[in-house]
Amino acid sequence: MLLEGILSVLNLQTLLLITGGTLLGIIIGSIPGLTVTMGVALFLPVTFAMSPVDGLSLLMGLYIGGTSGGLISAVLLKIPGTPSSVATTFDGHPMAERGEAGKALSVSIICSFLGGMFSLLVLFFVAPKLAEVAVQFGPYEYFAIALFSLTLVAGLSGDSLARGLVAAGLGLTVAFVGMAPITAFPRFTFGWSELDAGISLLPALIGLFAVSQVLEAAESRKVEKPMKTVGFNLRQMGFSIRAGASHALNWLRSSVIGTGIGILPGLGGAVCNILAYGAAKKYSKHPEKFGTGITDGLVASESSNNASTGGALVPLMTLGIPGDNTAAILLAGFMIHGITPGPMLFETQGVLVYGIFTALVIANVVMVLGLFGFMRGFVRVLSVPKHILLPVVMMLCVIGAYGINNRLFDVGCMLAFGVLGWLMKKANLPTTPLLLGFILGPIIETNLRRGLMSSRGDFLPFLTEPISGLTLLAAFAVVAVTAYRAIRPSQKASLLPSG
Amino acid sequence: MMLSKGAQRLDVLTGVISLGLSALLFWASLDVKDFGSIGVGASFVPKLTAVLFLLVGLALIGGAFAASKTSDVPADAKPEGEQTTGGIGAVALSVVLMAGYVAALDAVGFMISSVVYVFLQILILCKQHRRRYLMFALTSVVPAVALYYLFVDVFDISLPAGVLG
Repeated sequence: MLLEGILSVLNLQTLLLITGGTLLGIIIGSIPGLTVTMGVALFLPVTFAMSPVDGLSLLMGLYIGGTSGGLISAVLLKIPGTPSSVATTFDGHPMAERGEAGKALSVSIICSFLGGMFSLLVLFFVAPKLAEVAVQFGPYEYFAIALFSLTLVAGLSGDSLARGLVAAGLGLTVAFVGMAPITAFPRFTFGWSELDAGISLLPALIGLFAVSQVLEAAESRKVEKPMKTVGFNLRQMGFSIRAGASHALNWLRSSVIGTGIGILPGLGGAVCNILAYGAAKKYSKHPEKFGTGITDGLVASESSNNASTGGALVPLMTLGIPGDNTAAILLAGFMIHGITPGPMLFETQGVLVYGIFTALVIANVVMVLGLFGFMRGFVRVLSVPKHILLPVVMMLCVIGAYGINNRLFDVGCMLAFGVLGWLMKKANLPTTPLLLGFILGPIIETNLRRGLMSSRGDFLPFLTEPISGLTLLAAFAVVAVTAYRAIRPSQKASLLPSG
Repeated sequence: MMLSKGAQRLDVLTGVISLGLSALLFWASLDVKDFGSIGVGASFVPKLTAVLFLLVGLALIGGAFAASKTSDVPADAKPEGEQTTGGIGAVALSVVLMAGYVAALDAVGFMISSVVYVFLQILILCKQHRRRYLMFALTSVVPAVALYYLFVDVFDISLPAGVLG
C-alpha cells in the first residue's frame, strides 16, 4: 500500500501539479494580506475535475508553499506575509538591514524545510496508530472530541471567550440549515428549496476568507505605498554545516512545539512561531541578542511554523476534525472528491493517504528549490499593488463558488459570507470558531443524538465512558480557565491574532 | 476588567445581537419536526444553541456595564493613516458592485460581467493612486478572458457564456 501510494504521485502530471501548487503557494504566502487559507480556498475549484490524488497533491503544495512564502516579506520588508512568520521579522529584518539578507533567507528556508520534514515524520508514524485507536470510537467519544475542539477554538481565537462563543454559535446556526441529521427532514429553510441540502462549505469559506478581504481593502483609508525591499545578494545564501549543527537543539525544540501546537485545534502556525521564539530566547545563552538579528530567532520561528503543517493534518486525517482554517479547507478538498477523512481513511483509502504523504515530502523539497531558485521573481511579485490583485482574486472567488453546483445561489451565499466576515472583523469577532462551528456542528449533533438513542435518552454515558468523560472534562477546564483569565485582567492574554 | 469606551459599546452591541439571535433561533426551532424520536429530536441542539446565545449575550452586556463602572477607562485610539477615500461608502459601493456582478453573470455572461466588475472595483480600490485607465482596462480584460478559457477548456468547469455563448 505504501509503495502504491508513493507511485501514485510519481508521474509527470502530479509532480507538475505539486510543483505549480507549491510555487503559487509561495507567491500567495509572500504577499502580505493574502493568506494561505485564501489561496487553498481559491484553488479548490481547480481540483473538481482532477483525480483525488492529483487534486489533493495540488492543495498540499499550496499549503506547504503558502506557509513558507511568508518568510520572504518578513525578512525583506519587515512585514510578515502570513501570521506564521511574525517572529521571523524580529531577527530576519535586522539581519537584512545589516546586509545579511541572503544568510537570513537561507537559514529561514532550510529551517522551514527541516521543520516541515520533522512534522511529516510525526504524521507518518503517529497518524496510522491514532487512526487504529480512533476506529474504536463511538458517538460518545466523537461528540466529546468535537465539542472539545470547538471549545478550544472559541476560547483561544481572538481576545475573549464570549466573542469566540458567539462566533461558534453562528457557525452552528449556519450548520443547522438543511436536512436534520438522522431524521433527514429539512429545517430552517424558510421555504427555499435551494437550502434543502444545506449551505455549501466552499462558498462560505471563499466568502469568509477572500471576499471579506476585498471589502477590507475597500474600507482601508490608507494609501498603499509601493513596497521597498531590502537589497540582497544571492551569493551570500548558505551557511556551514557546523553553524547549522549548533542550532540542532533549538531546531528540535521548535519543531516539537510546532508539531504539538499544530495537532491542537484552534492554534497553528500563527501561535507556534511566537511560542517557539519565546522558548528559544528563554533557553538561549545570550537572550539579550534576540531581536538584534541573530539566526537563533529565525531557526525557532521558521522550524516551528512549518512543523505545524504536518501536526494540523494529524486530527484531520485520523478523526476528520480540522485543527485550523486551512485544515478545514483541506477537509472540503477531501469532501469534494467524495472522501470523508477519519480513522477509516487509512483502511479504505490507504493508497491515497500514502500518496498525500509523498506529495507533502515532494512539496517540501520543491519549496526549498523554488525559494532558492526563484527568489528574485518572488520578490518582484511583492510589488504588484493590491488594487490590481484583489479584483482578480474576486473573479476567482466567483468561479470557485459557481463551479461547485453551477448555480448562482452559491455565488450569492459566498457574497453574503463575505459581508458577514467583514462585519465580524468590524465587531472584533474571530472567524475561526464560526468556520469550526459550521464544520463540527453536524458531527456534534449527529453523535449526541446517536449516543442518546443508544443510551435510551440517558446523558450519563457521555460522562462515564473514559475517553469521552475525560475529553468533556478538558472542554470544561478550557472554558473555566479562559473565563478566569478574562476576569483577572493582569493575566489576560490573547494567544491568537483576531480572526 | 478594563475596557475602552469603544470596546464597551461593541460588547453591548454584540450582546444585543446575541440575544436577538437567541430569540430568533428559539422561535424558528419551535417549527422543527422532532418525530418523537428516542433521546432528543432535531430541535434540541438548535434550542441549546439559542440558550448559548442567551447566556453569552447576557455575559457580554453585563461585562460591559461592570467595566463602565471603573473610573480610569482608557481612551480609544484614533485611527492612523492619511484620510483619503475608502471607508464605509467604499465598502457599500463594493457590495453593490459585487451584487450587480453576480446578478449579471447569467444574462451577460462571465467574461463581460467580469471585465466590467474588475475595472470598476479597481477604481474603487485604487484611491489616490494615479488612475492609469489603459492599464486598468488591460488588467480587466486579460485575466477575465484567460481565466474563462482556462477553467472552461482546461479544468472542465462550466461558466455562464451569456451573450457571447
